[in-house]
Amino acid sequence: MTSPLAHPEPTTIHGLRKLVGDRILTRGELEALVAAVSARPELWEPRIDRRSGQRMYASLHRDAHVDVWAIFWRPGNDTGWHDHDISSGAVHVVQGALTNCGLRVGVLDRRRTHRAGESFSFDPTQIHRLMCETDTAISIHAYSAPLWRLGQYTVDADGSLRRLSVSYADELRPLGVFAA
Amino acid sequence: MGDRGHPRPGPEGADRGLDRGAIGLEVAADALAARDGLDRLAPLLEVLGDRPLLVHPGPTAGQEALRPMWWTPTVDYTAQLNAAWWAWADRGRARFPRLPVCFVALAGLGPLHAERQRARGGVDTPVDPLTFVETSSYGTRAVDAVLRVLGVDVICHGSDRPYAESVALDLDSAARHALTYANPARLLARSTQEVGT
Repeated sequence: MTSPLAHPEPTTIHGLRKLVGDRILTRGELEALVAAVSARPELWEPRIDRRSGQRMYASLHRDAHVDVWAIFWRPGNDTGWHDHDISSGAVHVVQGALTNCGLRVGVLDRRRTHRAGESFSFDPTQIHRLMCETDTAISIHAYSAPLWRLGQYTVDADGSLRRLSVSYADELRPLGVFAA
Repeated sequence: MGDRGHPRPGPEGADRGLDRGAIGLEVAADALAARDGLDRLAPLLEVLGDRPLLVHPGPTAGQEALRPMWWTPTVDYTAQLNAAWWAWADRGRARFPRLPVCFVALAGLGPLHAERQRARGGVDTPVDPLTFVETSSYGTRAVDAVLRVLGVDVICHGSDRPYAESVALDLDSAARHALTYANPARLLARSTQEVGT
């Protein structure tokens, strides 16, 4: 069965997400939503400043159950380790490449590089980190429940893992020892 | 004169005020919330164009002497602002699509009633980037609760002076920057452009 999001109408993000349902979305639904928004550049392209020398966030939409963002990445941009508190999320890479790292204890991170046209998702329990691998990258993100708070992680000199609760307004970047 | 003896300037008076440097207009929440409020205010709001409208509590029933001094701001003003918030959501924004609006005192926590509004037949609409709330004497808990509903981009840090000082909010620096600088700058964008020229 064809996804309702493949239909050419409606033409707004709110219209697209209403096709999915007026409720908290699943990871699969979030992946379908970011792919659908990515396929309609008129919804996000005007909000992207390709001349920006730094990472740039554009809030495209927020309602009771989902928020949608476009992010413009520059080389070396790195979110640092973070979680999304109560939100699941999905990312669709529109241009360039992003590496998604999953934090594991006692073993190396799980890493996967996603290139233009690919999507990935995560649930609220996952601690991850995104890094830009190309000269520029553009990605569309959706979160459900809408972002509220984030957890940022640092490691003390004695190896203790610390979580800092911040609002989603915080521009994620590496903190403390993890910055190395 | 207004219903309770308050001046009710017409659009000409508002025009003169804006010409003399006023950056926007303030209306009373009870006036906006009234059944015919939008119709009566429309001539004033049309004068504003894209200059900001501030919605502030209006007069109360005058029983202050029978109540503790916190009663009116805690009960009467919040009820008025809640009604005005939903009156604006109901028909105001559709009628004035470009008007920046700011409700003081977190709109009486009106945004927190959104789940109930939808449960009783209301429509789930996206957060409106031109409808702001101001924090007045609310602290971190209430601001954080409203932030969860509206997001961080439409909340402006204010105060309840001269009755109460501005509250230091226990939020991270990025959220404080949004509430203190970025959001007020967007609310007042037209006015600051004019001052700058």
